[in-house]
Amino acid sequence: MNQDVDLKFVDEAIDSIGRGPESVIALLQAIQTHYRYLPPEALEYLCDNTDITPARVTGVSTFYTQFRHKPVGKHMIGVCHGTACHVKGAQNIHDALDRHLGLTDGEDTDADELFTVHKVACLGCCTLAPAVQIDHLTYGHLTPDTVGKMLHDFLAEGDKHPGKLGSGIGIDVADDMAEVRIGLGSCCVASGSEKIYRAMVDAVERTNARAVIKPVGCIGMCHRTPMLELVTPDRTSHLYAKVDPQDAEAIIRRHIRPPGMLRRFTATLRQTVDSLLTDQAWGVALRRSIDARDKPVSDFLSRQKHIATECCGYVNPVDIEEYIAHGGFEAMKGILAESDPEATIDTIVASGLRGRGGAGFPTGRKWREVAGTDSETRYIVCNGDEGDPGAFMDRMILESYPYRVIEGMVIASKTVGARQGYLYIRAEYPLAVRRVRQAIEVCMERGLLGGNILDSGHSLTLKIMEGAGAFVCGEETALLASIEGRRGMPALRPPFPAHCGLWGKPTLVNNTETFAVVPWIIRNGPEAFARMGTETSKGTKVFSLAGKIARGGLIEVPMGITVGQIVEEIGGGIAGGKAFKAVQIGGPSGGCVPASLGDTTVDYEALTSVGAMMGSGGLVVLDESDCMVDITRYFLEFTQDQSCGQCTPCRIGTRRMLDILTRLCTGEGRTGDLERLDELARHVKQSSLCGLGKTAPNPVLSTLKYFREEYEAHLEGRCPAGRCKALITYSITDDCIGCTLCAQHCPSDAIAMTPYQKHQIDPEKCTRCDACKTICPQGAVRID
Amino acid sequence: MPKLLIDNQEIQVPEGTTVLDAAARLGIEIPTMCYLPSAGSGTSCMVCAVAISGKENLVPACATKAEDGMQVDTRGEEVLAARRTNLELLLSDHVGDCIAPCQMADPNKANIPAVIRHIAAGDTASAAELLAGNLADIDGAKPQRACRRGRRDEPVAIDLLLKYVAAHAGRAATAQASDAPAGHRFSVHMGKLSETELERFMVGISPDPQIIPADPQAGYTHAEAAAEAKRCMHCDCRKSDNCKLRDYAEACGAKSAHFRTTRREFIQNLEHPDVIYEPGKCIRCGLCVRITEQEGEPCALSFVGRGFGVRVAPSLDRDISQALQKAAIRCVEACPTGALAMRSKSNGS
Ligand SMILES: Cc1cc2nc3c(=O)[nH]c(=O)nc-3n(C[C@H](O)[C@H](O)[C@H](O)COP(=O)(O)O)c2cc1C
Ligand code: SF4
Ligand code: SF4
Ligand code: SF4
Ligand code: SF4
Ligand code: FES
Ligand code: FES
Repeated sequence: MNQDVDLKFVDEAIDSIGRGPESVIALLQAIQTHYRYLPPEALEYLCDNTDITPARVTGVSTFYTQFRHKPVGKHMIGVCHGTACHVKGAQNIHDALDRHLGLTDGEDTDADELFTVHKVACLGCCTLAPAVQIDHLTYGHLTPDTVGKMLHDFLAEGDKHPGKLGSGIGIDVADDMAEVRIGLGSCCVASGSEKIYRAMVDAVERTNARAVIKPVGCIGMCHRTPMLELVTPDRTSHLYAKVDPQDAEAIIRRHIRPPGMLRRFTATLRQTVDSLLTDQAWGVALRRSIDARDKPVSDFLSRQKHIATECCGYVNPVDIEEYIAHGGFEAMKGILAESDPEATIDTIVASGLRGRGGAGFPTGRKWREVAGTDSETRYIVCNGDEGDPGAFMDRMILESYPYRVIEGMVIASKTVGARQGYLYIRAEYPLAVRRVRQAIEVCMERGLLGGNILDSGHSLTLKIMEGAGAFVCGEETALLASIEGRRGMPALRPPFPAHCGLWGKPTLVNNTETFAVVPWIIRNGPEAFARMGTETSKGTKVFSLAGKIARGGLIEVPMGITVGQIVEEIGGGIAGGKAFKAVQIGGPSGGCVPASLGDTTVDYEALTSVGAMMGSGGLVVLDESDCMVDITRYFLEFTQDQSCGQCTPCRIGTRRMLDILTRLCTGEGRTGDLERLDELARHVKQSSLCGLGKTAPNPVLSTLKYFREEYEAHLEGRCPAGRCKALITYSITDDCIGCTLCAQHCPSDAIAMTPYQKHQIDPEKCTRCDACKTICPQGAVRID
Repeated sequence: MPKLLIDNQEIQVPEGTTVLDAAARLGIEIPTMCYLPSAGSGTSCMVCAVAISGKENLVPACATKAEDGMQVDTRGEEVLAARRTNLELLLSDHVGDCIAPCQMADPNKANIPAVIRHIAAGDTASAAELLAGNLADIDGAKPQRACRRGRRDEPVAIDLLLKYVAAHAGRAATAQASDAPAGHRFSVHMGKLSETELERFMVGISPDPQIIPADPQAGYTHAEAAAEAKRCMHCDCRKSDNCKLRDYAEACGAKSAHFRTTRREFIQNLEHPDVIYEPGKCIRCGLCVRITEQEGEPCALSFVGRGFGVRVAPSLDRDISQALQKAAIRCVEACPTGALAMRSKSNGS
């Protein structure tokens, strides 16, 4: 046994977290944070000193991807393999990293034990795809070629990470002060907003300008990040996109005249900021001042309707005063004072609100079910697991509007009679966890949570449960198992959680966005909500728009808008002039809507009828260079890995579908494969136990339906889109000017350096890493 | 008391009864693999899936509670097809043979592994008994070529072992048909046929057979034979006469190769003195996991990993003998396949 492991920490963790089986996940998380992996000694010790059995420790610690049983390098590199990153070449980035670090054959740690590389599913900055995270730094817009530079920069810069800024809540803004709003959502931070935040604080101090610098939640315009909005005292707004920290002072001086009286402004408003930003060299400095009259911006914004994201871009997420100033907690006060749960349920029913977690179950009906149960104890759970690898709506809501979610939960808990609640938040969302935790504390202090809320007699205690990396835990029964400290294995429904949920008690499980729209409905009345949308789908839906789109980001649109309108009008069409091919909606449970069905409306039933799904709201746009077989293979790779492994159809069936798709993508398809694929897809859909298996075949079925000719081409060994590496060759056309760039950048010496002459690619050596194509200034690299 | 229709037969059952039990009351048997009354259901195998009218998806009968007015179909086309596909999926990920490769390769399908086990136990007579009446190629080359041990080091010397049995069983001899091509010999391995009987048999094949009596002095000694026989890995499944996977697959006509792609490695875990664990045959039904938990095994079996990679193993990487201290027999009896079996159990001996 390793003598070096000091087990004192385990004792401390047990003392502070607890010794019951339900604490196992939190304990393992603490142990891993401390030791950076789970040392076997620590696990043995844990079993010996708590009520947790060895079987529980083994079962749980091997179920969730977050847990590591091997020591790791000094820095963790997470390569995003989310949908948006996948379509933008994440695998090439991963290969390039492996090359730089000399990793072969599935090794994950380099020889110097400096870096450990692992896959992550969506870092939540899809608009910066392809993205990589090294410790707390996120790098976006990578190419295989810039990977080396990234590592170099990280080693030079990363260690200077100054740590967190202090957190302050409550900012007084005098009427005559300008307000500088800087988005500090995860995407903004990843693209450099924290540096700008600092530069602005410095600039304000230097110039003594009368301005407050205010971190705000996600603005949604992730394609323009880092963004900055300056509101002068006359309330005109000036938007700056893709800002460079160097410009801070110039921006301040341009809008704010130096004060007559030197009143020193001190930055009292420092906010929790968790990560550093991309080195400025990453973004091309395309700065310009934009305003909402700017055509693309008004297009991006005008089609939208902010309900769940009300106050988008101008409130400080953790400032409760500001939330209250914008009508926060009014709805809750009304409900607590009135105390007629039936009336509240009627309101929700009348609004037509349906669950935003994917399946679209009518929310009012679910509340009525829970309220009508015969039980002393009931629970309420907010589902913030959001595992779809191309979606980040719930993260944004939790980060930017934590009070709104809490308010929605208080209203729901009062209505269904729950006194204890949980927010289950995905492991990869540390900022969301921190903000929500802070918000809960503030609410507790103010009597907005806890015992006898605002003297109403109603009590609600909220706890945060951090997920540990398992997509299936978004499924409600698996989620409840996870809160109970078990493997996230779904259970057969019925019984539904509404009747038999957490620890066997009636439990209301709703999605984050569902809770977030509740206060709006109460405040504005159900009719206002029901006025928007279609016959069966009311209100708005938040989507994360990413992929091959000109303007990606977070959008909230009224139901009933068409998919084509989202892509063309809000998203500005395809980036780079390629042809629009399809939209993947609903992630691994959803399907691909082809461009020809662009007039499909955003509506639960309409989307299902074309073989897609509302899902949680990931919307990834694909263009002509995307291979539908490859995309499908990508999703099946995800689901077969995320399946809990409980039931035969899903555990083995998804794997067999993946086997067939892999064969097709590598040119080894066999006759009968398409029929077998179709047969399997139908079988898995029909006989899996939970929603994961029931929906996992959707990507297969929808692409088989709309893009069958692409499958047939693969069967003949062709990839029409030129994506599947085994089926394509790279060559150089006569457009080559002999600049030698490709030869310099080819990592596998497949191109000989022949200055001023046409270059040639040795197909034997070529690994199809795409470096030459990316670098060629003439566009002379061709794929066949 | 819900009243429901199962395969168009009406039945009323107490609240909380499963569809499986309700069907059983009507004498309708629904196959189950991951369910046992004593250990509940793992809702895993899905071979018990049945159709309920009005529902899009099939449901597991073992865990679905009977509801008033339900109409259940347990043997329609759709249900049978789904059951077959589930079995085919399980078989596609199944490593292990019901019947050992040597036996499959033997022209007479003689139970060679059992013969070899008798040799190992020094019981030549029983070995001879098993082969009684079998006419086989005396050189035993075919089964030897198929021997799985060959993939690890050298195949078991089946040819020599069979000759050894023939020689020591007394009345064995080799017969050669006079008009057969040189070297093409038949043998009566042992046992039931005497030389006269052999002659009579050979008449049917050749007008003038030549009988060469066996020479007990040639070939293996007892000790050598026993030592060689002990190299046999017992590839034939110990549960081949008692395996739900095999029985149901046969009953439904499930084809094991239908979805097969790559195969996992064949592993035999012999850490436990009485139990053999062959993970390649495990269908992840979880019965043993639940039983070791019920029995309060201090280091129970657990699921390790998830998805396609999930497997069953002792917790904390312990040895399986530590995981099955009290529950061994119950687990072996519950295991629906040959994944967990008593080491001493061997079919045909
Ligand atoms: C595989 C799978 C993943 C899911 N992931 C999520 C998720 O990330 N967030 C979510 O709110 N619901 C998710 N759901 C849906 C939940 O099971 C549940 O229906 C939902 O949380 C209920 O809330 P709602 O009624 O407000 O939609 C998932 C379902 C399945 C089958
Ligand atoms: S469908 Fe998949 S995720 Fe759901 S229970 Fe079955 S194996 Fe688990
Ligand atoms: S477990 Fe069953 S199917 Fe598998 S080898 Fe044994 S008898 Fe055959
Ligand atoms: S190891 Fe034994 S059972 Fe297996 S093939 Fe060889 S002789 Fe037959
Ligand atoms: S070893 Fe047997 S009982 Fe245990 S899970 Fe596997 S098949 Fe089931
Ligand atoms: S950040 Fe990579 S897909 Fe979302
Ligand atoms: S016996 Fe019902 S699912 Fe296995």
